[in-house]
Amino acid sequence: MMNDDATPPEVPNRLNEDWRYGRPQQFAAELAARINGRGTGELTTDAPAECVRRSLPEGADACPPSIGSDYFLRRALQSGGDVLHIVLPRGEWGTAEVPLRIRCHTGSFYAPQLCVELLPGSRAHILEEHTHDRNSALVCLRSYTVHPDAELRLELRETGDDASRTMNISRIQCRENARARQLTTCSGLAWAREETTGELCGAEAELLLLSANRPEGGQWLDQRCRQLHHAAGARSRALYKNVLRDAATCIFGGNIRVEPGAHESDAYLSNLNLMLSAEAAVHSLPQLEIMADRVRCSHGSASAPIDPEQLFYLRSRGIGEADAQAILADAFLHEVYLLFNQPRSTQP
Amino acid sequence: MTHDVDQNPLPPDTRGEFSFPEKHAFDAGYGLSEETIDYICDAKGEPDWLRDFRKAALRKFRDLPMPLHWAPEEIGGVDFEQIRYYLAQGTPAKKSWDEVPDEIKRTFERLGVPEQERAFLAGVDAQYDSETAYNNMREELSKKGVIFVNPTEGLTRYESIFRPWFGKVIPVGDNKFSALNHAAFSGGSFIYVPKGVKLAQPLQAYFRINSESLGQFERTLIIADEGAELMYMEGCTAPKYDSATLHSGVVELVALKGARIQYVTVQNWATNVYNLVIQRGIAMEDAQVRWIDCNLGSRLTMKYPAVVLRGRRARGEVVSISLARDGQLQDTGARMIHAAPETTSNIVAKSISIGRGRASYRGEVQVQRGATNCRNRTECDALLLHAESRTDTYPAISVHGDSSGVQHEASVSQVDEEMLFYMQQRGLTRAQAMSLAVNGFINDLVNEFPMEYSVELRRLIDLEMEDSVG
Amino acid sequence: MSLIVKNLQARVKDGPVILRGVDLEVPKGEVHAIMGPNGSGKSTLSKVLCGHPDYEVTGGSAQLDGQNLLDMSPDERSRAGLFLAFQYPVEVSGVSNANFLRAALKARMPEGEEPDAVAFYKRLRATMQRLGMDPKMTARAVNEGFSGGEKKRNDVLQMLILEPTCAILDETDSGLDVDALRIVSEGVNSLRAPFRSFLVITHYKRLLDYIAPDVVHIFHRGRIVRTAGPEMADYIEQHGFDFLKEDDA
Repeated sequence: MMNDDATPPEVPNRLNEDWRYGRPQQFAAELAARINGRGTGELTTDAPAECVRRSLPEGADACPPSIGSDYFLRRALQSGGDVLHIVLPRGEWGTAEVPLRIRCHTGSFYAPQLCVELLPGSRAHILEEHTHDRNSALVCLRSYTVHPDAELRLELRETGDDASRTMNISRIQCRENARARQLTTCSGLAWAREETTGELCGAEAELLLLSANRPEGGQWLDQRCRQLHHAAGARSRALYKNVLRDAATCIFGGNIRVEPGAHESDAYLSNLNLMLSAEAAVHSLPQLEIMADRVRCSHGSASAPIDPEQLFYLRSRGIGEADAQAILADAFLHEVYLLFNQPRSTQP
Repeated sequence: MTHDVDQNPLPPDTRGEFSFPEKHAFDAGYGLSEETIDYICDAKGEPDWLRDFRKAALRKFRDLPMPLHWAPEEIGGVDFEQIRYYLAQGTPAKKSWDEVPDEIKRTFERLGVPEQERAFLAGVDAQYDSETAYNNMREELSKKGVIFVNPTEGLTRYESIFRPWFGKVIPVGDNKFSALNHAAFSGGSFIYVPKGVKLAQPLQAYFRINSESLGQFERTLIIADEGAELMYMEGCTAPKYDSATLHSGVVELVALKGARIQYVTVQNWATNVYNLVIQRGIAMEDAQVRWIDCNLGSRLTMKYPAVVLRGRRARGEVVSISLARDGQLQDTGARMIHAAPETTSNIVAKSISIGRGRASYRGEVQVQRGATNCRNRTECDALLLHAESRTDTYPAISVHGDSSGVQHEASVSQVDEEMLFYMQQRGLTRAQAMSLAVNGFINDLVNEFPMEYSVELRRLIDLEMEDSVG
Repeated sequence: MSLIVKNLQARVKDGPVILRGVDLEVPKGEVHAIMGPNGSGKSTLSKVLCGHPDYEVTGGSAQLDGQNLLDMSPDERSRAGLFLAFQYPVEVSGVSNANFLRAALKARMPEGEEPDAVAFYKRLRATMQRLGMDPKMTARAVNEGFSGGEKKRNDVLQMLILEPTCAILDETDSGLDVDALRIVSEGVNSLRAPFRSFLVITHYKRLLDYIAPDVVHIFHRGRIVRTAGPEMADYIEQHGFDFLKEDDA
C-alpha cells in the first residue's frame, strides 16, 4: 500500500465517479500546501491503559478502504501520523463514554490512524472529537471492528475554523449479530469529506449510519457512504440530513451493495436536505446495486425548502419568521438524534 | 437463430428473428474513415457543407474517449472496426408499398407495419438497413404543411426549417456516440408540424436491421411549432447474427412555445445488438415533452431520454419499462434539466430482471441556479425474478436554491412467493403466475402506451416470461 | 370595536378571485358565526385575515383594535391578538407540543425573557386535562399522527394557552364526536370575556348549540349576504341554503 515517493500517486480527477461533483484536485493542493509545514497534532484517549496500544496489530487489516481516495490514503500513511489501537473486551462500557480526541495543530497536516476493536459481547459508547486549530488539514483513517454480539455507539464530532479542511476515511465492520451505529456532525470547516464504508459480514448484523449537519457560509460538505452486504440476513440504515444556509454546498454519495448470496438483506438509504438559501446547492447520488434475492432495499433523496404550510402554522401562533425557520430546521434534524439515541430493540 | 421464412403469420412477428439475403447496391464496407464518409455522401448526393460537417464530427469522434468511468464495462464489446457503416438499395423511398422491393415489403408485412398503418397511423417511415424503403403520410397532413421526410431530404429540400435545429439539441461533441452519429447518420425522420396543427393519429418509424454487422445510425429531428401536437412511435427489430450489431441513433425533439410532443419507443432488437441511443428534447415556454420508453431486446442498451426545460412552465416526463433477461443489460433511465423557473418533471421507471439479466436505472435531475419554483418527482422500482438477477440504481440529483422541490424514491422487490403459490393452487402454471405478477408490476405504465402498443407489449412480455420461467 | 373588515377583496395568488368585498364587524365580547355553503369562501376569509401566503389582498381593509392587519406579517397578527383554529391543523414533525407552545409564548415576551418552565408545564397540564387530552401529548410532535379530533383539540389547547383577543374557529366542529364537541365548546366558552371576540365559521348549526352566537352572518360567493340573530342558524338547519338561489337569480 505504501507508495514510492518518486512516483506521486494519481490525484483523483473528475472522471472518478466517487468524486463526482467534488473537488479532489483542490483538496489535494490544500494538502500539499500544508504537508511540509511544522507541527502535527495530538491523538489522545481516556480509555483504560490496558486497552490501548500505540501500534497497529501485526498483519491485521487495520487500514480502512477508501471510496475513490487512495491518493489521500497513501499520503496519510506516508506522513507517519500517530497510531492508536484500542481493544475493548467484554464488559459494560455502554454506560460511560470513551472519549477519543484528535487535535490538529495550526497550519499543519496531521494524519492519525485509529483502529478500534470491540471484542465479542462487548459494548461501548465512543465519543470521537476532532478539533482543528487554525488553518489545518486532517486526514484521519478510522477502522472499527465490531465482533460477534458486540455493540458500538460511535459519535464523531468534527469542529474547526473556516480555513481548515478535514477528511475521514472510515470503515465500520459488523460481524455476526453485531450492532453498530455512528452519528457524525461537522461544523465550521471550510471543506470536509467524510467517507464511511459499512461492512455487514454476518447474519443479524445491524448498522446504522447517521449524520446531521448545518453547513453555512461557503462550506463544502462531501459525504460518501457504502453499505456493503457481504452476508445474508443483515440490516443497514443510512440517514444523512443537512440544513443548508448561505452558499453552502453538500454532496452526498451513498451506495447499498448487496453481494451475490447476501440474500434477505434489508437496507435503506436516505439523503434529505432542507434548503434555506437561494445560493445553496445540493448534489445527491443515492445508489443501489442488488445481486441477491429476497432482499428489501430502497433509497430516497429529497431536497426541498421549508414547507410553507408549516411555516405559516408556526407564524400564526406568533412565532417570528427567523425563529420559526430555526425551529423547523431543528425539527428536521431531530429524527437523526432520535434514531441515534433510541434503545436498540425499537429500531425501525 | 435466423431462418428464412415465407409464410405471413398473424399476429405480427414482433421479435423479428428472420432475415433475407443481402442485395445491396451500396456497401461502404467495414470501419469508418474519411473515405467511408465520402462514399456515404456520394451515394446520398449530399451538399458539401454536410460532407464537411460529417468529417468534422468524425475527428471529434476519434478524439472523444469511451465513457468508461461510468458506463457498464460491456460497452467495451463495441468494435468500431467490425461494423459496416452504410448498406443501401440505392433506390429512393417509396410512397406505396406496391413499389417497395418484394423481400423488404414481405419483411415489413411480417412485422405488421402496413397493417398498423391502415389501422391507426397518420404516416409511416420504414427503414431497412441504412435507408428508408417506404415513407408515406396521409394527404391531408401534407396539405396542412406537415413535413415527414428523411434527414438528407430534410437538410436539402427544407434546409431553412431543419438546419437551424440540427445538432443543436444534441451537439456533435456531446459524447462519443453523438459524434459517431453526426459523422455516419443515415435514415430516420425529420418532422415539422406547423403552428397550431395537432395530429390526431401518431406517426411511426420502423427500424429494421437485416444485414449482418450493420451499424444503424438513424437520425431523427422533430420540430413542433407553437401550439402544435404530435405523437411519434418507433419500433425496431433485427435478426440475431453471430457478430454484434450496433444501433446508435440520435433523436432531437424541439417543442416550441405551448407545443406537445410524445415519443414512444418499443425496442426489441435481437440480443446481440448494442443499442446506444441518445434522445433529448427541448421544451420552451408552456411546452411539454414526454418520452414513453420500453426496452425489451438488445445485448446492451444505454439510453437516457432527456428533456431540457428551457422555457417557463415547461413540462417533461419519462415513462420507462425495461426487461432484462439472461445475457442482457438494460442500462436505461432519464434526464431532466430544469433551466427555467416553474418547470416540472416526472420520471417513472420500472425494470424487471430475469435469470442473469441486469437492469440499471441511471438518471440525472438538475435544477439549475436561477430556475426557481421547479418540481421533480422520480420513482424507480425494480423487480428481481431470480437469485442471479441483478438490478442497480444510479441517480444523480443536483438542486440549487431554496424554492424548488426534488424527490427521488427507489425500491427493489421480488415476486411474492405466497402470491405465486396462491395462483398455482388455482391451476396456473408457474410461468403463467409469474407473468401475471410481472404484468401487475408494470400495469400502470403499460397503460401509458397507445392502446395498440400496450396490447402488443403485454403479449411480448408473456412470451418472454414463458421462455424464461416456463 | 375589535375586528373590523371593510370591503375586503382577495384572490389566490395568480388565481381566481375568492373574496369579493367582505364587510364585517365583531365587537369585543361578542361571538359571531359565519355560515355558508361549501366553496363560498368562508375558510379563505379566515386565512386572509391571518395573512396566509397563498392569497393576495386586492382591496379593502381589516383592522384589529385599530391596528391594520393587512400591513402585518402572520406572526405579528398573532401577537396582536388574532388566533386561528385551523380547519386542517398542520403536522409539524420533530417539534414537540410543549416546545412549540413555549416558543409561541416566548415570542410574546420581551427579548431575552423566557416563560417560567414550572409554571408553564403546570398550566399546560391543567389545560390539557380540561380538554380531556392525554398528558403524554406534550412530548409528541405537533399534530403528527393525531386523529382529526385530536388535532382540533390541540388547536383549542393552543388557543387557551395563548389567550388571544380575537379568535377565529374555522370548522372546528368537523371531525369531532359529541363528547369532544362538548369539551372543546366548554374550552371556548371559558375564554368568553368582555374584552374578547370570536368568529366561528361552520357549515352546521351543531357547534352553535354549544357556543351560542350573538350574530349569524351568511357567506355566499365571497361576501356576507345576510346578517341576523341566532335564529338564523335554526332557519338554515331546517331549510338549508336554498334561499341563496334567489340571490343568484
